Amino acid sequence: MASPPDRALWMRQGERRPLYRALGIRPDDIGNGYAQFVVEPTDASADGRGSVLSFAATTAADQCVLDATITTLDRDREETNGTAELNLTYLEAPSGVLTVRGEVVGRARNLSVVDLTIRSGSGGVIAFGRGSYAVRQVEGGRS
Amino acid sequence: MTLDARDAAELPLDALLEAFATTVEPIEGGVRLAMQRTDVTVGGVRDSLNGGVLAAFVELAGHLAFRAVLDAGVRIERTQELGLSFLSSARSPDTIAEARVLRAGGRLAVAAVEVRDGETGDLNVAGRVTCVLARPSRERAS
Repeated sequence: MASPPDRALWMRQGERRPLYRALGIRPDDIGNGYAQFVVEPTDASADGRGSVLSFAATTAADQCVLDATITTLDRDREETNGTAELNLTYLEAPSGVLTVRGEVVGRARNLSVVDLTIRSGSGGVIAFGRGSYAVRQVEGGRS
Repeated sequence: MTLDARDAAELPLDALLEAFATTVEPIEGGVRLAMQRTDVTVGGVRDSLNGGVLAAFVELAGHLAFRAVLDAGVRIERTQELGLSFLSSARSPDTIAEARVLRAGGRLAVAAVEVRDGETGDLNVAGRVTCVLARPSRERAS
């Protein structure tokens, strides 16, 4: 059985990650089947006009695919095995601070499918996407 | 037009390239990027490079390839599509992206990007990047 994610632990771990600090990626919310990040401009991720470069949002989108998938894992029997596919369609250029959210829309034995939305600072959707993430069954379980 | 230091400097990407420990050189029809393993770029399964970093690496390679081949005055407005197939874990000290422009039309440009292990040459990621272009004449007409 998948256990409920520990939101406080997830946020603390995220705050320590050098990648997140470099790109301004901040864990925002997580629950069963979803994960959400906020992306803020930093030296490396600012576009020079007060917004975030799409590259940082793309990084956060992949992280949403992973973290949303993790919330569905049976930790005794399953483990992560890497992103398989990631597709993003941007409707417009990023503006302001971004919110990137991934929601698991399908789970199979060895695959998780995650729908992605990226919203601008005003709340409008600027990108849709989908990721698929490989799940590995642990032989004999962990117990 | 080929990529040179001036072109790279015109994009607000120097800090991102530095954060990703990435260098850029021109190749026929595009660019070649080399990214080192650092505490920023690792974080994937089994001590591989982070998948989100690889995704951004592909997008970045596409943008820089367009900059390398586009005529003067044409600028990249934004990414429109990004499609990635992750084929194997990137565990090499150096990971290489080669991006080649497939077509640069009036409004859209498309590039193919291959990310490979810098030691073995194994294909880690196959990607395609589509960007919206802004041309001076179109900007004046709108």
